[in-house]
Amino acid sequence: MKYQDPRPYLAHVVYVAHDADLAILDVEDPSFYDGLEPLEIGPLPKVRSAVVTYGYPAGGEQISFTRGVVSRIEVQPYSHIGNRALLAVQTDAAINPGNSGGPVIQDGKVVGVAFQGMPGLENTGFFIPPPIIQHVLKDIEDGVYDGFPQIGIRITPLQNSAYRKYLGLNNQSIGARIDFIDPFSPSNDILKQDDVLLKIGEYTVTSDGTILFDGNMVHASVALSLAQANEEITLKILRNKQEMDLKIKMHVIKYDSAEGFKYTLPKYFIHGGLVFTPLCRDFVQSLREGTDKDNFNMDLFYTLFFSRQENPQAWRSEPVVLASILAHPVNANFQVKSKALVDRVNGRRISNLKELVDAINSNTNKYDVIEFMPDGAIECIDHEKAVAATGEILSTYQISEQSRL
Amino acid sequence: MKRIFVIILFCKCCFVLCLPTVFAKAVASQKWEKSLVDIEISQKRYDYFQPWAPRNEIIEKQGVVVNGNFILTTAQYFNNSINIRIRKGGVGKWWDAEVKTIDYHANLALIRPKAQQFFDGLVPISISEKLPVNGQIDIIRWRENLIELRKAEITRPVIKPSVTSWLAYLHLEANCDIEGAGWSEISVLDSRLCGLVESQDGTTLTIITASMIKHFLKGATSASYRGLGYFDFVWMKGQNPDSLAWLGQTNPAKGVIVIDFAGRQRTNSLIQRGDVIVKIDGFEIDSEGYYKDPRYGRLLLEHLATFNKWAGDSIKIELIRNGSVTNVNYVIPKANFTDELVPFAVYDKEAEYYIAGGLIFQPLIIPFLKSWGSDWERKAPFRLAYYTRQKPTDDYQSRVFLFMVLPDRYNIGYQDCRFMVVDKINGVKIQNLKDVKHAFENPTDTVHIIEFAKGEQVQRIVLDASEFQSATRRILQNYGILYQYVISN
Repeated sequence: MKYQDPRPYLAHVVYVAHDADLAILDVEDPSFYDGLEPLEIGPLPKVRSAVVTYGYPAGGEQISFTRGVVSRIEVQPYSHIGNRALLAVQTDAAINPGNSGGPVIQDGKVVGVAFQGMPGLENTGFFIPPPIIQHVLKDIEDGVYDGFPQIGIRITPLQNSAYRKYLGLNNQSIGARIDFIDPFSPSNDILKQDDVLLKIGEYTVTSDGTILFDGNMVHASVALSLAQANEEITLKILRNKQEMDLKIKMHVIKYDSAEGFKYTLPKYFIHGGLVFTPLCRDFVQSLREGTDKDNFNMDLFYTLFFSRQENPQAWRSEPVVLASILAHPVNANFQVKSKALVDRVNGRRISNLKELVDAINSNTNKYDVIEFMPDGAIECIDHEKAVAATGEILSTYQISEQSRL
Repeated sequence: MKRIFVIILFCKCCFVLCLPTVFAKAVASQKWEKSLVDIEISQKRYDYFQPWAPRNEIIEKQGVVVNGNFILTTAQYFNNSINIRIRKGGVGKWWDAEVKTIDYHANLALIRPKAQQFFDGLVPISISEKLPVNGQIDIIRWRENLIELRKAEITRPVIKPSVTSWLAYLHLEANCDIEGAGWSEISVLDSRLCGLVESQDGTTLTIITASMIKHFLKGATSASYRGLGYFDFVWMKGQNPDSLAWLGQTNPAKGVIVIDFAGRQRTNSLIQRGDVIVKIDGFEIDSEGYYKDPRYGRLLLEHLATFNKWAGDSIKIELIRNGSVTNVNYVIPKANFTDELVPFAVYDKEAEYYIAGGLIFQPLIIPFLKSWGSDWERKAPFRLAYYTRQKPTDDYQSRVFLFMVLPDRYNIGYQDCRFMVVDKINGVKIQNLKDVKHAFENPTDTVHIIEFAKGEQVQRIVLDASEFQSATRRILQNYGILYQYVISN
């Protein structure tokens, strides 16, 4: 709908950037745009400057305007995707449910898109700033949204004088330490623990891990997030007390089970009423938020968020979980009920749902043998009987497909 | 702690508020006065957020005179005791006492007065030969200088751990309208001791049975106490006939499946994952893990590891492996708290810590995690709590973590580091605080290098070695901490 026009217009999503919590829509009826003028995207607003948010928050039917000031600019977790942090602007202008997606205006230009608040705090709303919006718009110029690339490192402050001296730095406030490198990222072959990050492109990295970005001290990751997918960036580092320039190609992680909801229907496979699905953030989150203490499954939580870093050799790209059991005589004797991580099926180690499906479908033995972890539970189900019962089970539970892979 | 507070409050207030009730319930029995005694324990308690500052707690509980001039009671609250005193007749002089034998897995203790005259006029209680599984028993205790007796109805025998351990053994549960029990009140059947009350939840009492008491007394009065053992294999019910058939067990109503092993992995275990255990000590094991006990009826198989058995005893286990029946002589392993990567408890040792340049290191133990309350598995730092799900490895039999940093100019930059498990210090693998002390005594070059476990928020920090001692002394002085470390033997 548009301002002072009662007609609803059909729209569809053209691009969606889940990592930035932004989407590009198009309206099917070109007449929608009649009388509308595009707004220009402005610069990153200054701290303490005034902004106005526009939107349709809860509490009324008409468009709402609220004025506030820019409280601070820094890297914040983006709650939509759950495991990413990008540049965001905090304002005291009211941002309530219904404001999300609405523009934040300054001097007649869009300087942000309202997107999230912080429960428990007053006068604390956040909007997505122009550098993030521009990044998404540039990304889709080739017709495909790639996403914000990552370098796969963790930077920590380097403020202790003993550590600075140990790494060959003087006591100036320049240089943050690379503390961790994702073993699955291309950086793993280029960077080393205890490399001191001195510059990212033209941005000097300070000892607390920040850069001066458009007048704001923000986390150095902002300089990395400016790059597009497959773009090469230059890092100046200090290694073994020697300065050097390194070039790294930025890459986008295409699949990360630790991410949240991505508007894609979850994958599953049903065999004899046993419902298998990949372990993902939303599955675990739904258990953790429950009031039932027994619902909190430490093993699922650990596998999803910690095992990749702690035990990369044993890591599985898409851990599979027995999500539930659709009751039927063929599975009535199962002792493992649900929320159990699958270790092996018919002797094959399971790293993703496809491997599980293959292991079951290719079984020529009488039983499907499913081993769970970490407790080592063993469950078997008669393969032929399970195959035969699956159709009836799908019918009983009104499920149209045995799998979504 | 909550429980202690409630009891103390109850005792102090009820003298006024409930005196008529107390008198109404009191039984003028000379017999029990001559066997039941009060025990007062002064003990050190630790707040693991300030392990260098113990405080004092005084606990009162019950004990009962047994043969051999000993007093039997539960083991709970003897941890880090400073003074133990006992009193007879509910009033009068307190006598000094000491622990003779204590077993926190059994939750039983045998104490004795330092002066044998204490027993003048006292009569040892007889221990019941009957092992009741239903019907009424009496619960008896000293209360406000009088003997109080309550009737309790046994509801069921149950295999479960005592409050002081993870080791599961036979208890009785009984329903009773008594308040504030769980302090080693005696339970009596036909004028004989049939149990000690170890805890209360609502109207349900958990009682340590006479069979365990007799077993404990036999061991405690022998030349050497061997301690209880347990089955170190983890099993699942054999109620899935498909699973049993795949494992070679054709009788679908018999046997449980071994799926894992608890504690330290024993390399020469006779039991293997996938074995179907069908008989222990001659008793057939059903598919739910129960057997038919001639005394108590249907009991979980764990009872067979503790009933008249000590650690080191062997027991015959019949199992099915790859479709064939196999008999093994299983040696019951000793229950040790230190067998866990994160010990359930540390008894009779001071809370350990080591302060290095303001960095406070502690051993990772469940009592620390319980600082977050009964819901600690959800509320304690997740990564620390998850170590309780992990087993000791060849590299790490136990873990040490950085608890917090006392801010000082020496450790600037690390003040936010906390709750991180340590892998190495100066290249030395860290399993306990002795390793920490040794590592800091041997710096690498001019610095101390502390490396944390993979996945922690920071992987490595460095401290200046030349200033280490002076900075540590300054920090201890500034924060009013007397000792740089407490490390138990």
